[in-house]
Amino acid sequence: MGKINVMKHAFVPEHRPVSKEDEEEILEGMNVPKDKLPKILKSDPVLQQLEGVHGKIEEGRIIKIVRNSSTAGEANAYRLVVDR
Amino acid sequence: MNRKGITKRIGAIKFAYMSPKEIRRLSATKIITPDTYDDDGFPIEMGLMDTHLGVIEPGLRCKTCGGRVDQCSGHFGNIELSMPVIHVGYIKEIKKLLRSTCSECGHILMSDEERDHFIQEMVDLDKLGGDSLDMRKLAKEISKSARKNKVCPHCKTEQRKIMLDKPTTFREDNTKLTPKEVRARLERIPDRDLIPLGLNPKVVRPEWMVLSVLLVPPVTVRPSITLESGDRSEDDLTHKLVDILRINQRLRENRDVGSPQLIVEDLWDLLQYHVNTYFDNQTSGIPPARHRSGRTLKTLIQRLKGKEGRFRQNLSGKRVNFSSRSVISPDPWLSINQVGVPIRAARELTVPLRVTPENIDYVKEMVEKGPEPMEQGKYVAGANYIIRPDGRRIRVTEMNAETVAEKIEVGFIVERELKDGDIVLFNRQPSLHRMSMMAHEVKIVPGKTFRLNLAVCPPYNADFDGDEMNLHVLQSEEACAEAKVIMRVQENILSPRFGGPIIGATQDHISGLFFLTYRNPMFTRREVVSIFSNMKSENFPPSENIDGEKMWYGKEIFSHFLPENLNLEFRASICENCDECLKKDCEHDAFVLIEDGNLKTGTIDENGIGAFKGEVVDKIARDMGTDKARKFIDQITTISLGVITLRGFTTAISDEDVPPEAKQQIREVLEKAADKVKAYAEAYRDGELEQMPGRDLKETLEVMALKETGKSRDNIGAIASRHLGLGNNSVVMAKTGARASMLNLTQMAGALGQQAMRGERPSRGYEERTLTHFEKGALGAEARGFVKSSYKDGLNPIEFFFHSMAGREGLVDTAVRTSRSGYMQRRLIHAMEDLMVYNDGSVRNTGDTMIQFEFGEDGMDPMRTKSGKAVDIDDIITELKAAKRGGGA
Repeated sequence: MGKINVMKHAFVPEHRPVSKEDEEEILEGMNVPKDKLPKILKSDPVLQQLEGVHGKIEEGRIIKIVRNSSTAGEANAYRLVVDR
Repeated sequence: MNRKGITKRIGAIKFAYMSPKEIRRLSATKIITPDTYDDDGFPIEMGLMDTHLGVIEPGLRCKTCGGRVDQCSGHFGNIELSMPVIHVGYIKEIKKLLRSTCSECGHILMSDEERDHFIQEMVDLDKLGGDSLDMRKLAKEISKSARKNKVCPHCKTEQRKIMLDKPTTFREDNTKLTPKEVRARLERIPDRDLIPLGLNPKVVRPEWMVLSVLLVPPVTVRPSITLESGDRSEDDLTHKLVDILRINQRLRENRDVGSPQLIVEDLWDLLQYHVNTYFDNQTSGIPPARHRSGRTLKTLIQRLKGKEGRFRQNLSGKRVNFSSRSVISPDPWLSINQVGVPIRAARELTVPLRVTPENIDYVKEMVEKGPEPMEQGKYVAGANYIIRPDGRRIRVTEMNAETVAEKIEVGFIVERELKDGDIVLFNRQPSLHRMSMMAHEVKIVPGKTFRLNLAVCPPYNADFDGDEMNLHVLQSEEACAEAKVIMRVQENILSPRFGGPIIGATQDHISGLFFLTYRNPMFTRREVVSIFSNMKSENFPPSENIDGEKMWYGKEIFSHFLPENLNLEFRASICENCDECLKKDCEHDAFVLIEDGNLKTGTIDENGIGAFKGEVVDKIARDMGTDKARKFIDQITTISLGVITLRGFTTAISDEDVPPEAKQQIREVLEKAADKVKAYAEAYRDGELEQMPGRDLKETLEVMALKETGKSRDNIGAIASRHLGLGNNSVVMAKTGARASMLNLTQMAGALGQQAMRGERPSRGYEERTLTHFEKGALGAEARGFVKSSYKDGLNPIEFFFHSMAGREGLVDTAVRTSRSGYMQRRLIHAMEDLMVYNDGSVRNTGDTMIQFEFGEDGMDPMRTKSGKAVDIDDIITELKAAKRGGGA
């Protein structure tokens, strides 16, 4: 069996790394320090898939997740990349 | 995000074991005698009740601090154990240490380099902000890797396997390790080797986990009680300590005289048992210590653990003052905002009143009247206590009322009895949602029960078959103001649970409004006066002149209480769901159309004003404010009762009478269904049944049988309905949603139909059959729980049995469901108790960590949604229509 691209699965929402330039603006807009964001593991299958596209994603980067929401149509969430 | 008001923060908490040295330093006295009191009833020196440990009897003074009963909180003592004993609480830690260190030299079973590498890893983890849980996990991993080495890298001793015999015996290759040996090994572990094992050598030494001195809690922790007979009864802990002391003494004597090793060891084990049960009397592997009566003793762990333990019983929740509990009963003449408080309770419950220059005369006058004033046979609030600025409380009695009143000055606090209009909190358990505790206004009533309006029963889930409710009196103006704004009943008409009204009419209120509005009946002046007779003050609606007599239309009476600019369209509960809706020309009068506050067509029933469903209540509460909604509910329920009282309303089993032809038709339907199932069963047996996709043959048969019996039930319902019209009170209740359903009526008039368990026909009991009345392998309808009788006709014994099976399943299901959902809710509450929605719409916890970026992803307050939807299109269309007409909001 070949490797599965989890991001193509219907249950996995869109993940996208936030560029370093945009980080500050996003955090400012939400009035939240970086370390108070929800976390995503560096070893997460989605992140490994993303690294294939965007190159290496270090600890401390922010991932934007766009979900389909039953209440709001589309909802944005952000996660901080952590190791371990 | 910084929170105001926090001036100090706890930086860190450190836990450590107590060293024998520390225990002795803490100890006020050594305990050596197992006796407690001498013949005169005085505590024995160096006994368990020594007055050095504090005092529990009035009159005595503590020998340590000199304090009396209420001044001295007690002091610890100690018992010198003649032989060391393992502490059960640390057994896992001891096991870990013994296994990962050398039995001879005590070093951790790894090279120094390896050890230092792990220590560095711990330091790094700490720097990265690892909490104590992460640390413990790492220590566990280190110990696991140390255990792998079977030979000590330092002294080359081969390590033998150490086993733990529950609860506290260690064996090394089947030779027993005494606590003394265990301690010797722990002592050998060097300080530096403790760090990778998760202990901080600066505060802790592992040998302290083996006890050589036992700390004795103060007598105030284990008070003895004197019974009426004068006998003393000691606390469970004291009993246990007596056991420990006795064995300890015998062990010492035997050891000192050089008794055989066997005897000493037996006593040693016994001492270990007593110390174990002193800490925890429920450890697996040992029988719990019992009282003489056979009751198990409640020792240290049992005091703290579980639902009745110190934490959940006394620390997380407490008993409170200014509260009362009584049976509830209905009072339809109260407002939904009110609660009827009986005089007996009102005399006991008080509100503190601070005396100011403005109110001093008023307060003095009140206190003068004493604690139980009555005026013209009516309740008047008096005062129970006055509190002086120095904190002294003086009880106001009939005798001293006048003298006390004179002494009152500005700055005093007077505890005033409850009076009409006070704000109180009213609560019914189980408190499952926020509407389980709402603020009400007090109305003093005679009798002994709390009264509440029937429309507030749904949020509390209350009825009057003996339910009791709690009442709490608020003790400050701030609390009252807050409760009034956010907790008052009228503020909770709309529920955040489903975005609709949770407060509204039930049962007779709904039937009453049905009779008022269905097909727009007319009422004479006499009748209208009767209907309005319970209103506090109200003008009559406009009348029509018919045949020279003043007449009133029911729909106009209803419209009279609607706000003027109300526009609404919806289908009533009696709607027959026709293929094509004729809207306002509905032949069932089921299409409700309200234009500019006038009920044009339609019937008001459950969908109009019912709790959970009432469109009219919903719209008023949403668009015109809770004040108007409360007023509407109060008025319309009163009117409804006027109508139903005027008309009269009763039901009997004869309501479910159907003509003989109908009975015959029903019988035919039932027979046909039974025959069909029989045919299916035969086809199955002959292997001729056509298999359904995804099911085997047997399943196919069951599905077909259930479908057939289900169909027959529907048909019976249809036949019965043809003969049961809206002229029938039972049908009125079922169709309007006041109570019961058409299915209930069908089961009374027609037949019960198929009984099912877990959604399947009954199939077990005897070998290949449900009951011995059937042949083995019988698969027909009757053999598998098809009931052809109705409740009215009565069931035959076989049918009754099947019905009981299904009925029992229902009971068990509810019992299981409540306990399970209760525990689930408890866990949910604990998981979410520190979450809060901030002003920017985000949800964060007390650590300021982001939980949701926008509450519910859409930022909507579910209470203000329409059944969870943010926009109510139908309502907008109705309003636009109204605007076009030139009216509307």
